[in-house]
Amino acid sequence: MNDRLFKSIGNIGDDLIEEAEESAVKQHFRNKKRKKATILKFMPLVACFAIIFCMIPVAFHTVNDNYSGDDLNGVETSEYPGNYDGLTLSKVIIHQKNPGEVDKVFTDKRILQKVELFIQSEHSMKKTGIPFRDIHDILADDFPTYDIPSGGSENCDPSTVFYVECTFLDGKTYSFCVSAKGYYWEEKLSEWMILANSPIVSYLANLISSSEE
Amino acid sequence: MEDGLIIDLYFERNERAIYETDLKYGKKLIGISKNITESNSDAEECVNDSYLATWNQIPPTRPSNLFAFLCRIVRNISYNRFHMNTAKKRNASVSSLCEELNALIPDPNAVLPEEENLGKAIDRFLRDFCDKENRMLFVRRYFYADSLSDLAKMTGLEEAKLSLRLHRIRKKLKIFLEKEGFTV
Repeated sequence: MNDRLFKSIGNIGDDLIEEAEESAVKQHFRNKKRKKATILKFMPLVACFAIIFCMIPVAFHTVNDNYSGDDLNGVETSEYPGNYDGLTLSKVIIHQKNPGEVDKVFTDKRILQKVELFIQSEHSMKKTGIPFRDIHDILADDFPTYDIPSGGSENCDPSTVFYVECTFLDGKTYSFCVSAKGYYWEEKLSEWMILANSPIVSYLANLISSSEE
Repeated sequence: MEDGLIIDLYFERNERAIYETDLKYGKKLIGISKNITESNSDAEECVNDSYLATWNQIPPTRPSNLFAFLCRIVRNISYNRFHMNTAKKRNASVSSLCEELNALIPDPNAVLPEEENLGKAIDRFLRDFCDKENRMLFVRRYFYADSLSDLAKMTGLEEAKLSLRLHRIRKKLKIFLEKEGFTV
């Protein structure tokens, strides 16, 4: 037994002895418990506020945004005009590259659904934040049969390029360009790009090709 | 009554000083003494002895903190009583306290610096290397000699957690004391 060590603890400062006085210790731990309980009590309320706070901008965007092709660059999924659970497109017009020349107007639900899936797919790809150039390279490896042009628009046949104008049920529109081979014209980058889910691109390209006939 | 007035009564050699001291701090002092001696009768005797010691020390001493002053006296007297009582039969609780502290210094037979220096080193450790909560737990356990179950009731923490925390504090203290040159 180390008597002197036990005794020497008796030489600690008066303030330390007073600090550890029973009522002070009880009060300290009671306050700590109360503080913890208060935080836990208000957690659901804080969470509710956080959710509401996050929802406000989403709601405003949904109401106010005009969905042009340019708007889709870099926007969040929540801003996407389409409803993932059902069809929201009312009409799809396919032009030649020049928007003034209308080739065909689609109102058939089956086709509208496919076009909408196509837009959603493109949007999902943008949501990942991967630059278009990288996507282009990745897809070039995955789908070599698409024969992706390496240099840009000069390698594409302009006769296979179409301008697609989608009209939603609420009257808003979303436009983009697509080629018969599955590329689309990225206005901001001024480059031909391939879209994320190639089978749908392929379908759309075929759709456009058939509309041309 | 305010501590200052009680001290004044001691200076006036007014016996009411002891009555007021007992009224204000009696229960707490008995609690400390009981933690060490584990006997109600011994605790009461120790507290009475500590009042006498206080009466003899004030004046000339004027303690800046009467409660801490009384605690030290009752702790020392109780510890001496514990030694006297356990010359043949050891007191389990204080023995275990000392064993816990014993681990801090490798050689219990080694010549230690003066208790005061060691006390000051422990004081420095508690101020500089412990947060308020750990400091409270350490002082409650090793100054007030509270049992783990009492400490658990006081803080609302589990005994096992308290034991672990105290173990960690002792471990840190051991390293500190070694750095300060208190080990052999």
